[in-house]
Amino acid sequence: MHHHNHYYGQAHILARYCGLDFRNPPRIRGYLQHGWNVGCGWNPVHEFFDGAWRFVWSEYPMRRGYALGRRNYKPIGAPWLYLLELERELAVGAEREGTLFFLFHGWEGGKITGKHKELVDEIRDTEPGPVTMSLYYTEYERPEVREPYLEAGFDIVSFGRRGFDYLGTDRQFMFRQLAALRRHRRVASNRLSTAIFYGASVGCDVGVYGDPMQLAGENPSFGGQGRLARLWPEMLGAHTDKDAVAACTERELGKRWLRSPAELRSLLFDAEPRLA
Amino acid sequence: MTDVSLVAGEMYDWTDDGPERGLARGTAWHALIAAALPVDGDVLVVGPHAASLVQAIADVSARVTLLVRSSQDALALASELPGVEVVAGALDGYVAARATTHDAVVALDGLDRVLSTDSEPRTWRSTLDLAQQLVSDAGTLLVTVPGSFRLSDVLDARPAHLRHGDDEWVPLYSDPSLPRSVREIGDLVPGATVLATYGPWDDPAALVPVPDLPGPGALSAVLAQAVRTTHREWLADPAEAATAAARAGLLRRGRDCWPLWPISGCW
Repeated sequence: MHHHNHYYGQAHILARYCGLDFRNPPRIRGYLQHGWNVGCGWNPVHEFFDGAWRFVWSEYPMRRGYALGRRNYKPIGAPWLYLLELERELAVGAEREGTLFFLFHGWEGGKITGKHKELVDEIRDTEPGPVTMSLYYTEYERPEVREPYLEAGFDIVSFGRRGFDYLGTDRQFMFRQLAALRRHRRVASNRLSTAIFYGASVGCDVGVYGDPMQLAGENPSFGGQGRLARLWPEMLGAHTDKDAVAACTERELGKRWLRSPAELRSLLFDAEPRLA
Repeated sequence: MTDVSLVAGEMYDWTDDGPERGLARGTAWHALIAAALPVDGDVLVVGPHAASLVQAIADVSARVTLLVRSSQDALALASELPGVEVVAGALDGYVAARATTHDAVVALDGLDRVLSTDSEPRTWRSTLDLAQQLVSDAGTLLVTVPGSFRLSDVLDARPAHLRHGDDEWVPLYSDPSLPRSVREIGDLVPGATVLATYGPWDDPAALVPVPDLPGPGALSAVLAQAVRTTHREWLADPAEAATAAARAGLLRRGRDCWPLWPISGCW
């Protein structure tokens, strides 16, 4: 339906969960929310075909979308939750150490600006153990962004490319991310974002602090950083309350909306499952 | 730059000043403010109210805070109300952010448009609880309660799926916590004074203490006229329905009376 559905290999994960082709997932009957979102599930200028389903993680983007006159929402829970169902063993039991820090990333059309050296100092002051910096490839490939973290002695990882127009999708993106999160004690970021919820869902302690680094062209009608603090205060700060974070994470990932393979297949796909 | 404070739940690309239901305004509410509001008090106005009405409140109060959920309504109202603190956000967000009480809380638009898309869903009763938490001991609460058998809704010719457009974000009631008679309002808020209002939600035409309601014959005429002022297309002549209600004994006075009128208010 839309190439965003393939981002991070999420259509692939859902297809596998439904007993369908992981390598070449069948078309999804609508639009799949591909990351945590403070609005209606998508960016405000996303274009939609009338009548197509909007598959979102939880009821929260659904409610916001309805108020904007959008319809055909169906909460299904985050694809990440289906990955957890599929990969119950991956990196489980590994010794957890240190912090996986996700530098808030830009996207292919919006570059972030910020003070990386100051962030390095703040991470050093805050994190008790070794630090692994996760850079999205748009930052990883910019030496001026990468260098301060390398010089600080941090490990650097990049989980791959999410793909664009169905091409270059790294199907293992989220599998690598899951394995890495299960090997770390803490997950942190300079801005509340998708990976923080992923980390919290697999037992990482959460920290969100430091220069949030504005995204070029960011839409102020989302309320910006202030809105994050007003709506999700329990997720912010160098150290957070584990129970409050867990409750918020379940809500935002839409755990209560998780569907069975048969149910998800009938919602998302026209295809029949492969015979075993 | 107009100054607006923020609490959780502010809505963007949104206004509550719609064609079907605008900001609370008009002479009936001005009369209520003059009669019921403490003088020189600290007043919180909750929900979409017109600047003229808020200004009338400010004229007799020491301090006024206005809470609306739409950020654009907040900006527009703040530009017209220099002496009033305007807050954008939801009622639950306000309660969470500010541990404060007020001499009076005024919600003349009712409680249907005080929560936002970011709020957890709440019953009418638990939304009233939030408003009550903000009233100081011996303080005043003015809140509008929708009559559950409003003739203006019952006779609305539009099918249900056309009634609630994208300009509304209100609960569609099947909420058993919503009081259904004057007696139930009294049970919920002991000692409440209940007034009946007729006419459009945002600009009611009349405001009558329940004990002073006219008898069935006169009331049915008032009702029919009030229903017509909402300018909808009707399934049947409102006068016919109102007269039938009077004959059936549904317009009786007293605590068990059924709010057939478009709105009932309580204070």
